[in-house]
Amino acid sequence: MTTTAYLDQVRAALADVPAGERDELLADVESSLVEGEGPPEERLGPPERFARELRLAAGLEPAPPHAARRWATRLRALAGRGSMFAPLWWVARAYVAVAALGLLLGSTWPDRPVHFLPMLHSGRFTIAACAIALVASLWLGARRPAWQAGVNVLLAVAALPVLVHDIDTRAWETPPPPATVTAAPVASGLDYNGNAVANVYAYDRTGRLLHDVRLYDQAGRPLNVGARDPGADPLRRIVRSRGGAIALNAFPIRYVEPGTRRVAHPDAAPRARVAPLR
Amino acid sequence: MDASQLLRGTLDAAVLAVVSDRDGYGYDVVRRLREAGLAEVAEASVYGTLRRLYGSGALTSYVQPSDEGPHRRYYGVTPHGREVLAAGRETWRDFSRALDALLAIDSEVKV
Repeated sequence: MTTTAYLDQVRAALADVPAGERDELLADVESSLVEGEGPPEERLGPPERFARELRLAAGLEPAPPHAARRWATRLRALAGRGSMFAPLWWVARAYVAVAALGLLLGSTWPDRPVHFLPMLHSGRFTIAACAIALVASLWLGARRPAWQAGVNVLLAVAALPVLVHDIDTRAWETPPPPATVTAAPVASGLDYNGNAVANVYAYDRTGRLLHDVRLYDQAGRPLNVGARDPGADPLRRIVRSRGGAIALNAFPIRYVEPGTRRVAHPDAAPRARVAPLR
Repeated sequence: MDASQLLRGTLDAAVLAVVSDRDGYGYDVVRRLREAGLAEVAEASVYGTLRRLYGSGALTSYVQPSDEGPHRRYYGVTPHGREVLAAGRETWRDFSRALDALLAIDSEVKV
């Protein structure tokens, strides 16, 4: 094995050690290895064993089991880069603690004043809980007791359901102010399940289309369609009552051919097939 | 009696003693320890110990540029290091005296 290959294996065995420390250790080793004679593994033993002794003498943590080593390296790299984000995590984990508690207790999440906090027993209690959680989290971050890692793992796991809940309820949106119920604009005319009715066709029991049927509702109001002003619908055939008043509730509404008073299609009817009743 | 265990307990003092005599780099310290009679000393142990003593402030270090091969990192002893060495000397003296008596070794014969 070449010195370089040997060093690489030693370096790999120390993958979980912080990069700076590892490089310093290996630099010393490398410059010394150069002076030796013969293959390094004969002089120094297997690279794994060499690394283990190096670690021990340097006062480092013993190597984690092989599979965990890659994760340890990744986590350490993340933690190293993220150390400036630590205060952000301290605040975030305080929120997670309160929110997770709310989820656990099945609290309601009121719309006001903020949508992302649960109602823990009372508004004041919720505020107090937030304050306590924040203070505790900051204290933990500053003091760094060994069990902080356990707390971090617990809250990181709890963050998942909290995140799911917040996304589900779109916690980041400020809820719209309670809407004043505006009545739907009254459509002048006949309306059926939200659809404007432009014409009505009535059939008797034999299935024959009736003409000039006047319709009224239960209160006696005529079911008028259209405007009184003939100019609004100039081709509409005008039907008048005996007194001369225009009847806007006579159906079917017919249309005259332009320029005449003749109804264009006197027997026009919708495509519905109307069978006689039994 | 396990020589390697003894060595592990005393290597700090041995390394400090070598370096306080004259600044040295890794392999140089190994060589001097072996020449002094500690034939079993492992290189990994020495390198690790040097690093740890440096980290604890007992040693200072500087890099000596070298024409042939990588630069060498030399270690020297700090005042704190000298204190640690002095304490180590006393500890060893008391300990070895006690053990000499226990093992009934005639201390006058010892060189």
